Amino acid sequence: MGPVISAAQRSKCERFVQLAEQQGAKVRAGGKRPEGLDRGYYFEPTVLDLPNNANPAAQEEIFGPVLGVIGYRDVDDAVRIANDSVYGLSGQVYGADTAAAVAVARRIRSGAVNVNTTVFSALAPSGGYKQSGLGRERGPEASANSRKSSTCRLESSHHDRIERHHEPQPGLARLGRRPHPRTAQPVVDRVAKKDRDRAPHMIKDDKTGMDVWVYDGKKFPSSG
Amino acid sequence: MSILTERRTYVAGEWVIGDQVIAVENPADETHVADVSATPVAEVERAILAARTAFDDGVWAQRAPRDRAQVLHTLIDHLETNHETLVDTLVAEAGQPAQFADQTQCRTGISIARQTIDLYLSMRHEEATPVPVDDLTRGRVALSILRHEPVGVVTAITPYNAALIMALQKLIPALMAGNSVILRPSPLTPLSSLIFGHAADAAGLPAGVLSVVAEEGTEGAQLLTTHPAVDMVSFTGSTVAGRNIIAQAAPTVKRLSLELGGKSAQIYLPTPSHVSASARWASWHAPQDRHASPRHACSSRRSTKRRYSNALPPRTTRSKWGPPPIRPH
Repeated sequence: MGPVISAAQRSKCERFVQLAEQQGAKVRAGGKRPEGLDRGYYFEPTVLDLPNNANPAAQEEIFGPVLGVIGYRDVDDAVRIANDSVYGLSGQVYGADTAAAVAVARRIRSGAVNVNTTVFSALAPSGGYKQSGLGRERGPEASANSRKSSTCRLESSHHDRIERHHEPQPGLARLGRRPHPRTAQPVVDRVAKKDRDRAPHMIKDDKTGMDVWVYDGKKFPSSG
Repeated sequence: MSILTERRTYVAGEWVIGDQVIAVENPADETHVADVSATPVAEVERAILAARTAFDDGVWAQRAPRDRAQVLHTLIDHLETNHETLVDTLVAEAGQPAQFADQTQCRTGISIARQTIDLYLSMRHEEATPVPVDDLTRGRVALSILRHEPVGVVTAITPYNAALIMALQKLIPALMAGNSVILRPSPLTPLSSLIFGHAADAAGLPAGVLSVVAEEGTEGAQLLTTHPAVDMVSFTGSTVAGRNIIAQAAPTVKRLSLELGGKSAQIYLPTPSHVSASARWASWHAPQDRHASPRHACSSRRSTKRRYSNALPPRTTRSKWGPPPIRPH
């Protein structure tokens, strides 16, 4: 195992071991700087037996090789301990019965839960619940988060123009002929006009002066 | 062992030298690795403004996604070509195990970067959305199109524990979407990120689309989180720093992507599958990884607890520690 990043980070490990011990934790392994290494910011891999999840070593991120072990009564208690945190970045469940382990994993409130393994993939997003963050790294979420969406609505007159522009003329295309402008135009117009008449549209009723829908040759009162 | 020789930072397509240097130290033996020239704050601002101009001019954002993909693959090719130098640099600046630098950061990082490009290409850039039937029948709206556009200027602030892979997973989706990006690595590990400047040059990325700045303090970082020309901040680091960034980004309502602290639990069910896995995972890179889980919950049933407590301490005491051995490439 290598060093932690800096002297400050090593001090943090030491401070947390001390704090944990003050609140009832027992050091089962490590807990100090390794002997015989004068240069470099090393800290022995440390295992703390923690009396409960309220211990500082269970609640705060140490970012070093300090690991706390907490006993649980039953699975509900284990889930309660796991979720009793302001953080929710990741988590792991180990168990011989994969189905049971997955059932526990689904109850963990975090951005990822690994069952009997760990995963790091371009397709699997990662990120935090609670105070572990906003947004996601990797996966479709990260790509989507690099973009913003803009809705563009086109009014019907523009739509007509687009439709006319793109109107295919299968008959002419099949013959491999370019449509002559004079003959092509009426064909397209007729289609567009027919569609326009068929589509529901609103007119002002001459008698009542109210807006009414015209659809399929019949008039319907407007709901407003 | 050959580390990256670049000591300047990369602003708007130019290599910049400042008055101050960042002394990079190897935490494994406290030796001096390199003096990286810090980017002056005025130059950080120039990077932001150049990113803005590049974005607004559309020199990158307006190019077809396939073109952008090709350029980014070339950028990643440059990292692959310099694989050994990159691994040595990461080991020297962060004191991390060579295997972590080689496998997790470089190989996995590059594979993720390439897959992210493919993923983006599979996504729609424009799509039709339903027009409410009332609007349709009234003849007001005939067509509604949802267009996906890049956010604009994105600043990426990365941590010391995994400088390369974090940079890749922030830069690639952002650049692929057409954004301009300014990368600011941790002051503790600024060296490896400088390769992105050379990679941008090699790929022919238009000037200003990617800049890499470095600094000892946080003045430049604060500009990156407050400047009105910046649209989005992507940050990985502590929750304390994350809260500050939210506050700094609030007045100009920037989009945020924050990957912050964690205290992830590992639960060992009464019949655990392989107890030793956690001890191994926990000793990886001196648990400077938020996903390495420092809270272990084990059943208090006697048999499991005995097995568990038997498994952990010997495993950890068997671990060796010391300067990362240099792996033959």
